[in-house]
Amino acid sequence: MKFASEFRDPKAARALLAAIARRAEQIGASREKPVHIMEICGGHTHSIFRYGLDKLVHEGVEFIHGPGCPVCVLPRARIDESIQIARRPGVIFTTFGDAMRVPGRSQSLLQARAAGADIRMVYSPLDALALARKYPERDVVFFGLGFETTTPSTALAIQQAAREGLGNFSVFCNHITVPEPIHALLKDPHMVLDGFIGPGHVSMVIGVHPYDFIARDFQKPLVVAGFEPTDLLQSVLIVLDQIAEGRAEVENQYARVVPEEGNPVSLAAIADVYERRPSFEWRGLGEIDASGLRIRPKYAAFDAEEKFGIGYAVARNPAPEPRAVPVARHDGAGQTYGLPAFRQGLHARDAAGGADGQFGRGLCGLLAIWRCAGCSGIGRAEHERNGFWNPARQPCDPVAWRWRQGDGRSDRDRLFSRLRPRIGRGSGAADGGCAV
Amino acid sequence: MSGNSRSHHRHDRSRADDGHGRGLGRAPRGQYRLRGRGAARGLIGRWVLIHVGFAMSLIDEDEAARTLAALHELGEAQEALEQMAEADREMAR
Repeated sequence: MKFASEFRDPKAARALLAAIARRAEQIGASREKPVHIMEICGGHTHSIFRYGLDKLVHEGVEFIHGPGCPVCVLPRARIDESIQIARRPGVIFTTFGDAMRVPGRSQSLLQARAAGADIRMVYSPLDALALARKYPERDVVFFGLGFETTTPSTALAIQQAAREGLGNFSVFCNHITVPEPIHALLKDPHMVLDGFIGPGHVSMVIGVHPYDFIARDFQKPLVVAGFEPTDLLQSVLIVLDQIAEGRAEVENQYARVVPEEGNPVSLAAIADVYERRPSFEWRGLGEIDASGLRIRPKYAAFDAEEKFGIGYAVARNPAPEPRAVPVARHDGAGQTYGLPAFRQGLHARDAAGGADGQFGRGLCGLLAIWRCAGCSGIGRAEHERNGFWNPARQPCDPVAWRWRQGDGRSDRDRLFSRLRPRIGRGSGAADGGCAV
Repeated sequence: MSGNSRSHHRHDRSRADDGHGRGLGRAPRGQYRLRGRGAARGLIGRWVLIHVGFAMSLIDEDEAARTLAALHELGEAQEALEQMAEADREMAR
């Protein structure tokens, strides 16, 4: 057993789809009046598109893409600051590949590297530590971004640097947390979510209890899910079961990886190294209380914000980030959020890419923006205003890229061919995986 | 947040496949040290989930088997339902 391909069984997927359809009919969900389920995690969004699950589920189930893609919610100012640090003499700036193409106000890290800054892609903060050991005369900075899945790795790297006395290593900390933005979304009176697919790998670190407030205070079901197609479908079914039975609970579909209490070693490392910022800025969402982490004073020597006097806490840049604005829903039934041009742009893009307009249909609101940050989803004028547009560059968003490559086969063909295991396909950042 | 460098590995050897094609294949060079409780020896042969060079979770094989059994049961039940529906259609003809 490899704990991956087994969860791609087409027979089980068909059975789950049939069960989802029965439940959806039972609760009266329809194309016109769908159940809105938010998959919080960008990895889940990726799986949904990769396997075409949004097309295969009953038409009364609509996936709303959540704010759980750290690269997409990263404000441009953080990229600008990274470039400022990278340009300092003697600095080696290290980052996961995911962040390389994200546009800042004038440049991406990739462009800054081409312009001469010493910026290196690494697969782990441990690689950055190794560079710091190898080049004691240089300042090695690691771009710490991502949610709770990745936060422990930078915390452990900082602890290790402290043990070794590696004074030339520091972390530019822009770590963020999952529960706080969800709380912010739920408090919004316009939000029309019926349930959540909870992030699998974040929960592996923090456990399932940080989501209790979603069920308790907002009466919404949440099911922590794995990343294989049957994981996601089973989780959708559990959410629908809860709705049908009038329950709102936190359940764990991904128990093979996610312990109820999370990972105590990781949590201890996070607590030792990081503390909450009073507030942190998200692209598209603005400031959210207590949603970001900073390095505690006892590790100030390893804090790039302190070392270089650059960062969110140190030099707040007042220039506004692009914000979501309210738009009417397509059926006129209510309001949600989104950029109008973004919606139109999606339809146009889908047409151009050979896929149908499903992605742009309906409630592609605020939450779809995460999938768009920096890609060509928005109209050109808007892009230029936001500083996103560069026709020479591929869209930075893996989902958009995948759609653009639509091969014209039917959705069902696509799903069932994808359900077969693909072993040893290319990696990561370019393939839409994300390290953070 | 699913990861390019996240995959299921055994402690005793590296695997390239996490099925997503995002497997790191090999953990990055560096220091290898088991953190947390439990004798390292007892972990050999266990599967772990690796993210950016760190083993983040021990795979619970019993839980995996339970989930798979439920899925299998559902698949069998659905197949039986479909066969019955097909038989009904045959009868109607």
